[in-house]
Amino acid sequence: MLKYTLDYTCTPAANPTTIFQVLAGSAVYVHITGIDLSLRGASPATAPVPFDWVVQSTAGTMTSQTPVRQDRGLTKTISSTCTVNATVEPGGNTPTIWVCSLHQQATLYWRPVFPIRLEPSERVGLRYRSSTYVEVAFTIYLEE
Amino acid sequence: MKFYVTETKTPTSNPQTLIQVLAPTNTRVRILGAEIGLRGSTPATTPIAFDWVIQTSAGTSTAITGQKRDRGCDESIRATILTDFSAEPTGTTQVVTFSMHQQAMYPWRPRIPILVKGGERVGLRYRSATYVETVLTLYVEE
Repeated sequence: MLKYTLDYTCTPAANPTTIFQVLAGSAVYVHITGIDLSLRGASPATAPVPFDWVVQSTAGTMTSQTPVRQDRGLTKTISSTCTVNATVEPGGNTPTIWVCSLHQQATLYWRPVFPIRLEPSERVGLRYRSSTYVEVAFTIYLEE
Repeated sequence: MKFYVTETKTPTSNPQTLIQVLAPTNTRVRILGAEIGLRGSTPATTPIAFDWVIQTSAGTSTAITGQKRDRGCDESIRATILTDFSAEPTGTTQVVTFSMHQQAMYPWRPRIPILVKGGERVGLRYRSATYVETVLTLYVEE
């Protein structure tokens, strides 16, 4: 089991925006075991921002981001692919696996009861679904 | 089998069942936890109460499909998930109760999962006359 994290900070500019997508390697299952996600808004009375995890079928146009292995002494290579901050949204977006919302000045320490599990070669994306655009800083915890 | 159930709903009456889990005959279902987010915009309003109750009917509702954690598994979810209630189910025996600020997000992790015995119904009710959008995910196992 290879554990790794991916950190990123962005400000979405469209609703929805996939802020993170992971594509599982062709011969591995990937587990998303948690997120730390902070919003840096300045309007306390605005409705919280909804997020969802969805299964996606294409890559869209996103930026590659290299995750960091927990055990950097290992030589094994991470076989999944992580991308962030879509400028063209990925396709599919069904089924929806998980939904929630977060106040724009709050932090979410999400430790799911059971992880989101990707089949080999499957894509799952985390979408920001609001037209109130605030900075999002997140860390995703993964295993394969 | 482990599965997720998601729902986004703005209640229109008090109380209103947001979601009901009906365990299949001879199979027990456990509700392991949830994430509940509220999307209000009035910080000074009194928090919203929720309860999990044992229910005895379906009310008037719509069935939705849970999402298996293992999407490669060829078995089907047997529990029935009902939502979009326009008439409330009967039954008011409370199992769990809590309240939330209308802009909060609550990762609910019960110390003891809610056990739904075969053929039994358990529902999550929103209990406030302040109606804000509720965004929730349940973690369920059968």
